[in-house]
Amino acid sequence: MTAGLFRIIAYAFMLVGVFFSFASALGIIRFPCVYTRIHAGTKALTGGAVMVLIGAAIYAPTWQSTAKILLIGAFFIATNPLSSHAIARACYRHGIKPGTVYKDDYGESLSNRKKEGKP
Amino acid sequence: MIHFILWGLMLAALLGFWRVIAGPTVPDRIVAADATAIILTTVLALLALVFENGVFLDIALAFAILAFADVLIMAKYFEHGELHR
Repeated sequence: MTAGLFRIIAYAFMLVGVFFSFASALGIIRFPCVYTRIHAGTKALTGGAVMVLIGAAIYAPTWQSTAKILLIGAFFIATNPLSSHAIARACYRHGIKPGTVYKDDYGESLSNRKKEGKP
Repeated sequence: MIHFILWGLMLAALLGFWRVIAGPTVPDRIVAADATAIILTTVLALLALVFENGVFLDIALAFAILAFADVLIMAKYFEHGELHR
């Protein structure tokens, strides 16, 4: 009885995670510029992948595999925002401007640093 | 049931890979490759449950670390045009 209940909870987590992953992939295809694509590929994909992994951790038969799957999820939470921040910073410093910007704080900060002679 | 979840994840990975092929600029391809690698890592973690083999989980962890280092190196190369700076 409890095994069936755990399995239903695991499938619910996996289904929600698949929905978020699919929405993230659709956003990567449909969004207009690089920064919006980074936005789609970071938050929704981290949440979706971590929810699929939580469902897999509930589904897993032994506690060793549960620990390994949770380790992969913690690794995603730690590294996916870091890598997309690196990509966005590289895009901006390479010279790609966002589409509509009302106040560009990072550009002002970069030009101030360049005036002071810092890299 | 878990096969439908695998098919949904593979479809999402295929959509992301289409942006890798057709992306107009280089950072588009980098972002889409990152997303595809993450979705394929979850597919590996689910394959470990389907085949009931724990080796897939080790492969998934190594693949996640490799994809992370890959994206960082590609972003740094795209920013500077060279690596040693």
